[in-house]
Amino acid sequence: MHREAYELTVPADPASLKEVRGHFRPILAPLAGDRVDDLLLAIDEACSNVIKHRRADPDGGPPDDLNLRVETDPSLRLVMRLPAFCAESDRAKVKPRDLDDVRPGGLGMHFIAEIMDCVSLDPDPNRPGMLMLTMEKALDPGRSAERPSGTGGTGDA
Amino acid sequence: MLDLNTRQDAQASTVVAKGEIDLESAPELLQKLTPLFKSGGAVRVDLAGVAYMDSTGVAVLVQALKLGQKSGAAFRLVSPSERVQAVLSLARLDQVFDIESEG
Repeated sequence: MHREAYELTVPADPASLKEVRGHFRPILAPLAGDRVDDLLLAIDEACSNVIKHRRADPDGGPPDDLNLRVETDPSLRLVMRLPAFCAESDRAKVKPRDLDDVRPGGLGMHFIAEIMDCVSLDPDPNRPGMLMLTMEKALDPGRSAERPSGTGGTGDA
Repeated sequence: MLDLNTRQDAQASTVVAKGEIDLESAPELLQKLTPLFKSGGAVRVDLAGVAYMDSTGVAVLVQALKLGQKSGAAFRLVSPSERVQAVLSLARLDQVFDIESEG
């Protein structure tokens, strides 16, 4: 596999989610096989989170546009980056919750953590005060994704 | 796109959902389900035709479950599609809902 990058920018609006899934499905399907639905769910949850953060904080939250970059590399690792995922001040709110508590909401980060091998939140180099979400998945079931140094697992995501 | 139709019989009100349930469409499902709990009968949601559901769809189903517990009305999922079952399993909620199959 060659290194490939695919980028999509859409309005940070719930109506964009279908377009995001429709855009990445044909790209991911040949690479991910029957795991494509899970990967699209992880992308959807990450984008939904941005949209919800923007709704909650129209001035200090993510910008109007939602930008998603998906990269594949020769080691069959899929890397998805979502700049301006949330404000740094919201970092503590972005974490999987206790599933024993059956209540609506708060499952998005749990889904992402379950589906992806590695999830990290790091300062967005282009937007001071914002965090960028990076999610990684090894596409070959025989391999496990290597965690880049300095990035944590899902506990701090 | 999410298509919602409500069927009523003596025993239950059933919302038949077809399409995709996400942040955009999930509120429509909740809007459709909520008033049904006032009727006193069981409330069912047929998910056989749901090709995609994310965590906001799960949240609506949990809200409906809570509404049912509060009002005393039974709430059941009918024939959830494979994708819906996978998402409920991912949320560890597959044992929480009453699920019935309809042939």
